Amino acid sequence: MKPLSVRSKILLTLIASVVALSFTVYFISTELLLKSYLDIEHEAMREDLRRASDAINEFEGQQMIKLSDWASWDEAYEFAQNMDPQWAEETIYATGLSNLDINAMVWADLEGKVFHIMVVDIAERTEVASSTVEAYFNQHPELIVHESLEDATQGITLLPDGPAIVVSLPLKTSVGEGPSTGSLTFARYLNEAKIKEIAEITHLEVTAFPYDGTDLSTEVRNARAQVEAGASEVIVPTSPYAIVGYTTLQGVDGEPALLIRVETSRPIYTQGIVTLYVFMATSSVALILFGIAVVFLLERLVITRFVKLAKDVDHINEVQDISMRVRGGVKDELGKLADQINQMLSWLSESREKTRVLLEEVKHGKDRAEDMVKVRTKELAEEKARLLASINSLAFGFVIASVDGGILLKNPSLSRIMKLREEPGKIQDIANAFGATFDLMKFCNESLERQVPSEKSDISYGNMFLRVLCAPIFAEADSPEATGTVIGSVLLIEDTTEAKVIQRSREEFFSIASHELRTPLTAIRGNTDLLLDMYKDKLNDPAMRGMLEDINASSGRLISIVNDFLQISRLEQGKMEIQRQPFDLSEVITQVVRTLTELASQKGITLSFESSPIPQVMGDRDRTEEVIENLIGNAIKFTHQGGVTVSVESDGTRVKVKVTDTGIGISEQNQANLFRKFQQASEDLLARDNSQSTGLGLYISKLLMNAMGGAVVLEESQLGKGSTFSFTLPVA
Amino acid sequence: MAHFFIAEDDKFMYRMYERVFTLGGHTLEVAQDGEEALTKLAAMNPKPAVIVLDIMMPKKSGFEVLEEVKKNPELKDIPVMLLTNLSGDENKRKGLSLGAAEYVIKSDFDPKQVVEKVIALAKK
Repeated sequence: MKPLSVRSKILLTLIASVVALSFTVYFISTELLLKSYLDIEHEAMREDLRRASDAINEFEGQQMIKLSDWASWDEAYEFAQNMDPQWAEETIYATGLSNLDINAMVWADLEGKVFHIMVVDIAERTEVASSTVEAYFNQHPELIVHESLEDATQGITLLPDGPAIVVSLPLKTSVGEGPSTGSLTFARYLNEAKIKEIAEITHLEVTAFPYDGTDLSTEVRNARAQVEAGASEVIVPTSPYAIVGYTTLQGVDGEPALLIRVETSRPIYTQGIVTLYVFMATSSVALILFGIAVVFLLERLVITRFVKLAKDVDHINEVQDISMRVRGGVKDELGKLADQINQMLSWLSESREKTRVLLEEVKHGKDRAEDMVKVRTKELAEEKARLLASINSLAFGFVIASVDGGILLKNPSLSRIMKLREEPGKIQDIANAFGATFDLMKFCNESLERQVPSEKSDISYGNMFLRVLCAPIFAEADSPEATGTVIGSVLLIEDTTEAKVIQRSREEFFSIASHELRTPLTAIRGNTDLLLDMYKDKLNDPAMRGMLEDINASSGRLISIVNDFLQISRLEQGKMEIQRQPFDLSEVITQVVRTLTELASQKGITLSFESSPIPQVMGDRDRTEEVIENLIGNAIKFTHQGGVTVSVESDGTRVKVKVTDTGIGISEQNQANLFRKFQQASEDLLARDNSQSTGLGLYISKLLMNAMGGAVVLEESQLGKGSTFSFTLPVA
Repeated sequence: MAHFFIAEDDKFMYRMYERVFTLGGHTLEVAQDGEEALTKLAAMNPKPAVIVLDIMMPKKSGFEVLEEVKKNPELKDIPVMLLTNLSGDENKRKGLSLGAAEYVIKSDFDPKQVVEKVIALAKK
């Protein structure tokens, strides 16, 4: 179902409101206005009923006045005593009664016995039969017997021919004296004509009904029933134009005797109705006008603009052109809403433009990225191929394993080196091949746990020696500071058998060389020593003595060369045991300087130690002594005049020892070769000064210092001016 | 005047040491291999003041002889000098750990110095 438009909803709401208001006004009017009119009408009716009753009572009073004239008339007084028929005939006659407007004149004695009666038809002015009336009075002596002169009867009585006004007084003298001779009673039928007559006085339409009447209309019977139920009066509208009211008149006996009915037109009610209708009509017109005005204003001020706004928005949606704008009109809420929609459209335009630019950038970036990915993928594929080829061509066994020890990648060298019959699937398979000699699993697991690579050499495997390296592989860490998680391990297994054999043979060679070369040399030098020392008395020929000294010196030098070779070999192999202990460097220098002072003075040069306080250093005392000896020895060797100065200085972390000479100096060309093996600072190989040393000293000094964490350097040198060498050692 | 023992396979060497010891007025008993050294040491009476052992010898090395000497109650208290041209820290450490009193490289000292060292050892 299509939802109602806002306009229809507003219209329906307004119509519903107007209708509801109209009904409310109608109900209020009916309930309050009309009811008050009815109340007034009832009150007027009660007044009319009272007036009708009063008119009847008034008529009773008139009857009583007439009667009292008769009852206090001496002739009447006497008539009761003498019952003179003549007097009766002359005085009491039909016309007279009609003039008196009474239907019956009843004379009774003191016992209530009627002794004279005349009943007339007032309209006809003739006497009618009186027996029933006489009989009635004889049966109702209470009406006509009076206890005293002041006693009287006045009221309505239902005579056999209908309700009548009955007045009765005791007969007395004209001066009002007694004793009473009887009573005189007048009766006047309240017939239709009489009632009408009374009503005319009151200008009311009055009817009377005997209370106990039997041939009464339904309306009257209903009214009587209500009276019997206790109502003092009954008011019944018979039509929109007429209303009747009933009330009762009591008889002399105190019982209801007569029902009085008053019928009137309904001017008040009619006025009420008219007023109501006018009010209703006015209200309705006002409400409808109000509704129309509201609709008109709403239509003009809101709905039209709202619909227009909605249409504009709809149109923008339809053509999907966000460059369009809606029309708002006056800057009230609707106008502001329109402005805000326009603002949103502007934003939308802007953001669409931005999105378009972004999308273009993204597309561009994506294209570039795709190109890059293609290139990278190709590069990666090539890289992978190269890497795999490299791995496969490696001479050592190469394994990449997952964290749980599964082998992800391995090269053929692994099985070849390990002589595996089956291709290993797990690290455990390789570990099993090692057997009891080496616990590969434990070795690798420790490496992974500690997250550092582990290496073990010289693992005996059959008749081979293997070197095993296990290293964890880390996932790329999220930040440079964090260590990545271990995602696997690399296992390298190298066959070092040949290297081991070579190393062994080299060691054996040096061992043999040192022994086999030095032993005969020792014999040569030892024997020449003995000759020169113990048999010097017998060496009389200076030439022979000179030859022996040369043999001794040469063999000594040869021993030095062999010793230097051995030391270099050991240092290079890392076989030299270097101490790292604190010691007093100044003391060592002092000792060496003391030893070499004689050598210097033999050459005619000075050797001095410029001591200054320095902290203890960390290193090997004996090896340091060797270095100092070498540096000072060299300085002395290459200095022919002037001298050699040793000085020390410390910056708190290292101690530097400088050996400065005033010797021949070293050319820049030769400075570069200073610390190399067999390179002495001579001009060329053939011209080198090989008369005094092997030229291995500086090289050995460098190796020794490096091994102690120190360093030997040439500070400066100038040809002909001298050189400064220095070495540093860490402070203890 | 003292009595010493040397085990040395190189005849040039032991002859040199014989000379220098004799010149110094000492006597030197020489064995030319490891087994002979042990036999002679066992037989010697009186025992030498110092036992000097070369390391690289036929039949038994100086280390083996040293071990035997140190097991022999008659010899174990005699100071032993290992006199060799076999250098290297590991050999020196091994010799000293086996009970040698001194480890001397032959080529580092002239014969007279060796005699002085032996005598000094005997006096300890």
